[in-house]
Amino acid sequence: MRLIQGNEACALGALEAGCRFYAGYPITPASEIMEWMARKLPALDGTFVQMEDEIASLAAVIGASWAGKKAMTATSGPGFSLMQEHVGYAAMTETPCVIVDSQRGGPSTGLPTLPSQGDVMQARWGTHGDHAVIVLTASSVLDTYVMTVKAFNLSETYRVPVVLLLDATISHMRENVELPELEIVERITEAEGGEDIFGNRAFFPFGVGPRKVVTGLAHDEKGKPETSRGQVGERLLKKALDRLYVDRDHIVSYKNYQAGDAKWLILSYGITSRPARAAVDKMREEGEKVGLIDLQTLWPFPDELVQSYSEKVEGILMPELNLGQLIMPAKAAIEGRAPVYPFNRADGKLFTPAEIIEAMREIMYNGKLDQTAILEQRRNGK
Amino acid sequence: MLPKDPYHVRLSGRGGQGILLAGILVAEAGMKEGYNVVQTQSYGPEARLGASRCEVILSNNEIAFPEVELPDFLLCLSRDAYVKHGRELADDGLRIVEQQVTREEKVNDALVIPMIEAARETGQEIVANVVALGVFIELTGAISEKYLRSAMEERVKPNYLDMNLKALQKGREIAKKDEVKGG
Repeated sequence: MRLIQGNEACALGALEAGCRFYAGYPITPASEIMEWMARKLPALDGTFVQMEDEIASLAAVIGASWAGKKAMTATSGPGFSLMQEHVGYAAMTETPCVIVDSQRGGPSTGLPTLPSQGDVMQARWGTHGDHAVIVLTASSVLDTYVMTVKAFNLSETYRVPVVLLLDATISHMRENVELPELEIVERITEAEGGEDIFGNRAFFPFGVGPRKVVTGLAHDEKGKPETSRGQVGERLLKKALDRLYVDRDHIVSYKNYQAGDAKWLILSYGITSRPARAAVDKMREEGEKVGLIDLQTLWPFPDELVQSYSEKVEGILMPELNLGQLIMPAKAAIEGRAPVYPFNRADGKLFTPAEIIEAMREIMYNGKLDQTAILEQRRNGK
Repeated sequence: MLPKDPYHVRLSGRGGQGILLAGILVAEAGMKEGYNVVQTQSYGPEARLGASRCEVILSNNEIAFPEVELPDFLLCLSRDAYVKHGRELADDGLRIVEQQVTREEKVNDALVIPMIEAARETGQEIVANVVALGVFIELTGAISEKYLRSAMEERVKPNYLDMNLKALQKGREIAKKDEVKGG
């Protein structure tokens, strides 16, 4: 049993997963990830570089990945915004890499020391163009460790950038944990694997074998730029997205907390699942059939899962530390099978269990939710 | 033994007073004692001198919500911290306020203890956080001294360990004095 911080758990998970290259630029609340990697990587024959900014950080990570290393960077919203160009480049070049974004209040410099879940849409759609990307999150220090390992595993398996969304609270929180043994996916390389290096091919290592082209231009399976016939590039984009769709069950992680027989469901993720769980405990004591689904995979959005629960419950409460983001794909998946109620704040505070209970009871007994009223009355010290 | 389960601890003070380290020590010692622990922290954009807060929850059960709403034990080691974090307290909670705060603020419903002065007597003012931990274990019995000492051996720099261990004893002693009880 050890007492460790969320950011430390993230660094430990990365090292356990085989990460041997880190490039980054410090920022609250992600800096400790960088500090841990700087301390640990040299002894493991790894490389740590502090770059001039976040754009360069992800560029270095992509380069290291092509050179054969499992590689990562970590930042917060402002740095994640800068990285977006290279998120697209990583996606276009099918480069495994892990990007941790410990969310703080935004936009811009925003609320630098306070938690947020405001980057959920940015993590999916921050870079331009259609692209394949996986986005994970965690609601405890232990889960941060587990999901960091999973981020590397999925990144290597599907050759996509994987974003792990943490937040200021999880990043700085310490909990007693027993770190579990986890399966590690090693990179499959295929130096002599024919001419194709993209599409469904294993990773092609640099520095050995014939020369290959890697480009951000639309290209064919060999990597040859193909910009006059758009369907060639589209074919690769679709392949990358299809891989994630077909293997969705493998990619989707979530925790079911008393949701099996629930008549009313809380759908949440990350740190917000903590007050949600406390709310479920309290309401179950009172005999109210409430349950929680704590999503750990946000993208690809687990639409089948959410859809199946929406068929069994009478209403769904969706608290988020933003002004309504993941509720958009949730509503699209639920398609009116159950009423969905948003519950949002972007003031740098966590929801309290009491606020979630009050919101849940309002929808259970009144069939409506005036979320501003609940949050305001508590702000005013009631 | 925990006076209450879960037991909510809030430590507050000025950035630089070692509030975070004190919280980590409570969490680490609590874990060694066999409890589940969660420690969170909050501070402003300023690295030093702003009001800083560290919270620890100790429980025999799993801890769902990681923050403290109404502390069972509240420490205010500076005036700003008292003003900002000193109000909320559980009904039967214990509020400990540094004596220097009373020079500028009227302090009610609290045990007022000269922790900074005691720290100076021990060696340096910077160990006021550990004096406060001595007060904490003496008055609450939430964690035993042996686990706190063991946590300190792991988390405190060796050159400062002696001074900190003395500060812990000093904290226990001043908490025993009768005049403390008056508030």
